[in-house]
Amino acid sequence: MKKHTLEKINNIHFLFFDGKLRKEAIIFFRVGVGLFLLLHFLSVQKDFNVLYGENSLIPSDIQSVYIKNVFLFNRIIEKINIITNNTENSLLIFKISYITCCITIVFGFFSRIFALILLFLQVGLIKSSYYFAYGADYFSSMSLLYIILFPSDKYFSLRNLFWNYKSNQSDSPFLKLLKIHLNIIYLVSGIEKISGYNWRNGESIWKSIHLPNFSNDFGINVNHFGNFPIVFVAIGWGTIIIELLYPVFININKTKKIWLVATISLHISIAAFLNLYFFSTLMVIWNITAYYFDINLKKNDAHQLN
Amino acid sequence: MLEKTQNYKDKIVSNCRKEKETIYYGTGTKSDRPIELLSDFTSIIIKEFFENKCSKMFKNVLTYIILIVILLSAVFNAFINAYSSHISFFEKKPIESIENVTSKVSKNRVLNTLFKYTGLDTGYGFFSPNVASDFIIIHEVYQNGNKNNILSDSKLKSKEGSLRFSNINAIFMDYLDVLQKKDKGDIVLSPTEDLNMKYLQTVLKRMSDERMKIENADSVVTKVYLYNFPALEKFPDTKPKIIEIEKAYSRKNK
Repeated sequence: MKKHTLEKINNIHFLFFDGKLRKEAIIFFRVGVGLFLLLHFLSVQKDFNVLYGENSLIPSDIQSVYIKNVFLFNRIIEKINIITNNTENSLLIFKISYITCCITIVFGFFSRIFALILLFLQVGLIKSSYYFAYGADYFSSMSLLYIILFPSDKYFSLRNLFWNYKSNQSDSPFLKLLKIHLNIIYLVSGIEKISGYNWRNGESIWKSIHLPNFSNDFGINVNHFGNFPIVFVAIGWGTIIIELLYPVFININKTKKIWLVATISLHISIAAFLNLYFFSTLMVIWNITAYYFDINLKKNDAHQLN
Repeated sequence: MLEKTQNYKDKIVSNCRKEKETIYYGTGTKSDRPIELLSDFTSIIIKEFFENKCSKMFKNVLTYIILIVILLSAVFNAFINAYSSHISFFEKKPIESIENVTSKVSKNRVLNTLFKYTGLDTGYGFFSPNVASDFIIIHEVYQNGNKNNILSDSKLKSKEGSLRFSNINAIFMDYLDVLQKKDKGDIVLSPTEDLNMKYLQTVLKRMSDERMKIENADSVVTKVYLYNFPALEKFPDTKPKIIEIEKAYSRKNK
């Protein structure tokens, strides 16, 4: 093999295995996602029976008619019923299992194994009521995947405390994957937005804040800005620019901080104006994990693990 | 013979422990190696594999495989979802080769399961290329000669529950596309559109049946309305228009 080819391979390898410790990022992601999943699950408990299962407002048999290759919630309950002989007790076991998995993830008690179990429960639940699922659910599944891939309970964990667990898995490759994933997400979103003329003339912003199902909780009335359409045009273009140029400016050290602040501000605005609190929170967790700790990562912190 | 075997074994072990290098198949010719040594040799290789360079190489290869699979899955689904939205929004004719690939991938059981269990079966459009319209579903509940209008999300007590329920709008958007097509005089529906129409009507009928059961009503008429907020360019007009697009009936069997 020629020398420059070997160098290229080496460079790619170094991109993923740079050997730097990202202890804080790993801890933040594990605790953040664990708490997020717990709160997200608890937030629908009052409506659990009308959203999921046989008493759902839209029966799950019709919702999941196109869903294949997934062990759905109803089947999970059926299996637990073999032991309990009672649907209510089975439901309780399902809920307790879900909550236990979230807590073990937060405290780093065999987080990766419990994340795998939780992924099975979570996907079964959301796919059984397919039409009640939204972006936050898909990102929850992806977050669990990353918890399984990261050396999640390597630092500041119960596993470490009781079993003196030492993993020699590198911190960097899957964190780099998370970064690339975020870049793809924002780039695609930016391209899709710029292709639709309504994002360029401010109509999309105007429309989204007037959707009855996304009305803001703070009673902020934006109607008086209707006389100044330039405000909505500017917000629309601002969103496009932040998303479309995310892969460029978030990866340049000088602009990383500014772009991270801009992106987090975008998600806080989405939470405030569209009521998408959970979705926004999860996106902020992803962004902070991927880029915030990089800002503080000093060269002399680098430890060659590989 | 035994002495020779032990010497050979010791040599390998000391080489491996001192130099921490991958084990090569002996130093002598094939005939020099005794058969009894095979199991020891394998165990040493396995041990070395998990402790040293082989293990590291194996882990790296496995990491790269996972990285590539996840990246390709994310890119593929992002592209397919963006492409579908683009085709639907700009009413373009789909490219046959892309449709074929999508169809093949969606029928592949392994990929399908992988995408679903990783959450990668989603697009990243986030309200693009256009913000979808909202819909309002109202149940007209008839009970002992009285009529009550009930909003479909009235049974939901939590904000997150209501937000989840509002996602049902996605299926009505497909229905709206078909209605718009009909308005343009294109009455012939594709098999998929026809199936979507029937599916939506079934969903609506089941919602109506479920509501009748919950309210213990004599009959229920479930109506879907399109909520159309005036465009920014029409400001100061801010009065939303409500247009009925579909309805379903349920009646108690007597």
